[in-house]
Amino acid sequence: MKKFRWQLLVLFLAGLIVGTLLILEKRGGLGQSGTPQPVEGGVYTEAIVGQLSRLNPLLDSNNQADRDIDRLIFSGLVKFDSAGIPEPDLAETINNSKDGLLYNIKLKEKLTWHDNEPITTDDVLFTINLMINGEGYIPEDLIQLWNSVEVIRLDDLNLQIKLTEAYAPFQDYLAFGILPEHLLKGLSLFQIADSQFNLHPVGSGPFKFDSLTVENSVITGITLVAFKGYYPEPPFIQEINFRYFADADAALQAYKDGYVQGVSQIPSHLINQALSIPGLSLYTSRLPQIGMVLFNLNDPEVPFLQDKSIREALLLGINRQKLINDYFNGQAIIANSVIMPGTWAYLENVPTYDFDPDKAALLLKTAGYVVTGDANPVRKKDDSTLKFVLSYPDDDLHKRIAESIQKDWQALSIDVVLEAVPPDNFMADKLAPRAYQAALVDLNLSQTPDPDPYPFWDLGQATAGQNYSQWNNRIASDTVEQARITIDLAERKRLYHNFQSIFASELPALPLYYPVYNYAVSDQILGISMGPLVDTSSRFATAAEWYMAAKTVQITPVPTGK
Amino acid sequence: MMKLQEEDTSLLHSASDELSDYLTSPIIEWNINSSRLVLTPGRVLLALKRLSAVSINDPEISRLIELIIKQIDTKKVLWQKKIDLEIPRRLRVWENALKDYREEGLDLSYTAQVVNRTILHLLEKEAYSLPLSFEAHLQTLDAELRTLLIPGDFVWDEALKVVFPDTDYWFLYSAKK
Repeated sequence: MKKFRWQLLVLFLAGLIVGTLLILEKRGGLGQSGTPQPVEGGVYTEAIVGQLSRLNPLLDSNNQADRDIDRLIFSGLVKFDSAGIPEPDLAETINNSKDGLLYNIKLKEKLTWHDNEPITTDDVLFTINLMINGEGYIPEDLIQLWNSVEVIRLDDLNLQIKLTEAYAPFQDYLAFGILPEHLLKGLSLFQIADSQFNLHPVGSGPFKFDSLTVENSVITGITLVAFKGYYPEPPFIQEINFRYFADADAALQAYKDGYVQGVSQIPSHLINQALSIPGLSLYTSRLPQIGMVLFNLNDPEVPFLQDKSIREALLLGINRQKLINDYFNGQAIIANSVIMPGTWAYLENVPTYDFDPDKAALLLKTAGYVVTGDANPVRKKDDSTLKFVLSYPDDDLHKRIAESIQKDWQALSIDVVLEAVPPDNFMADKLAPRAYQAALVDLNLSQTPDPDPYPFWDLGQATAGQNYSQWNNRIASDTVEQARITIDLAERKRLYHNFQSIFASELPALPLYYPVYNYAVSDQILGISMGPLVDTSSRFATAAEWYMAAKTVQITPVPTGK
Repeated sequence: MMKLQEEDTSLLHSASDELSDYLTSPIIEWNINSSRLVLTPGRVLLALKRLSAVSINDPEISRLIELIIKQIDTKKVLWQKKIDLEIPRRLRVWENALKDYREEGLDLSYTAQVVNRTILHLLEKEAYSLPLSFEAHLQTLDAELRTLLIPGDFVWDEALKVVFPDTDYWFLYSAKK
């Protein structure tokens, strides 16, 4: 298993080096004498897992394959850098007032849609209005957000957004894909959902839709071509073909058979196979997900879970690296914070809890829980027995993780009863009604790059919101509530660092792992770099800079006259 | 009932505009610009409670309640800090009212003054932590109040009984001894 961790490390470093070199070299700049310089050309074909539904950024939230392709076809006012900080995309500038109530946005000049019509603020307003009236398609919180702000068109290139109160993560919400008003005017989102536009989309991203491949009346592929009008410069690769596959096994087989040059995802069970294929490069990045054990901190039947030292002992007692090795094939990272590593808000020196069963046992003993019974030893303190139910989503992976945790905790003489819950019911039956004692969960934070921990950990969300643990920590809540209205990024970062310190000290829940994502591409495709992902579609964030052809630049030294 | 409902609705409408400014200010009793009403956590909680009796049949009021609760939740810590500040003031007001009743006997003003006792109950449930002396102090005042009252009819509009059960709100089911 050690082998995989080395490979992961090597891949991370390779990605970093490639990214750094690319930044240093800068696109279009003169290469060193004899070094290759990217040129336009080449066709890249990728096996994508899933199927086409609607190529429309407002309608793709439930379809990863659509989101992947939309990332190439559409663009937003902002995009995210590798640390998750929003930076202008279609926008030239975004200026906000000091109080965070006013945003002035200027679009880049001479931007066009793929059909060469100009992009204006009318398109932005049109898309926002579609979201506001998008009940049934757009998440309720997003509708509420856009309903709560005033968007004013100043002219073709300038618009102003007024907030009723400061909301620091607001800029992240400007990343929505913008739709062309001139093609969809007069249609509601409900009507657009049934429109042919979703199969022949027109966007403003680096690649434009060209054609669908249909076999036996089924869409089996899609072809995109480089958009020559793309800002700042058109992509090097001239054509990208996607071929749809039902699963990653079939997708990888297609690579082995020579039909494709890349595979959209390599799950952990295919890692060995993928690594053994000559010429196939693997790009690895942390997914915006975290596996955790949540505790119900308000359940009178398990009062010991309210004791910080018990929770710490429980974390020290889990062999998380073994979990990762055994069940993720090494394709995950030990988690120590609820804020994602690699993002701007992450606390690099966050306190960690390495597997230490002896220390865990000592903590339990110090808290008064001593081992009783010979046949089935269990820890007790007066009438209180260290016994609780760990609920988990009833699928193979979570079953095995839960069993492993149960085994680790049983070794500490803690009686853990496992409860399998159908995954579709887990939220409604267990988390939402707070009807659990401990729960194994995966929190998916994709598409929300802002690190705001408020929804899951603020006391305002303890009864009806997503603070399923019902963690009631006033200092932590004060910190996240302050951070939400703090516009200054450095100050916000400081607040989130404080929050992470409190979280690591209190451990209201146990962070277990961050899964990683593997993307496989032939080594003939160059210039690929992949930072921490907001969504797996973010692998295409730099697709315009990928290249398949290069020329060698020879520079003749110019005499200096001396 | 209509008058109370209008007053509570008006308070929450104003709160929806001014709650954020109020919570971030150092002020405990916030005079609402457009009316004679005063914004405090207790007053908001009372309005929410009373309006919850009619919200089932009134989607607009239901939405208003939802909006205010959401606004409170986004600034829960500031909200609770305001509650910390309101509790001793409210206790003092109620103590003074009881003092008057002890000296001059219970009168018609009880229907209005008992709002303070009701608010104390609502604040107690919403507070993050209570001053150590709070419970004992309130128990003393309640014991005193019981000497002035006998169980009786609900003192406010009948329609509100559903949200103020006599088990928790015994002081609203009272008559002069």
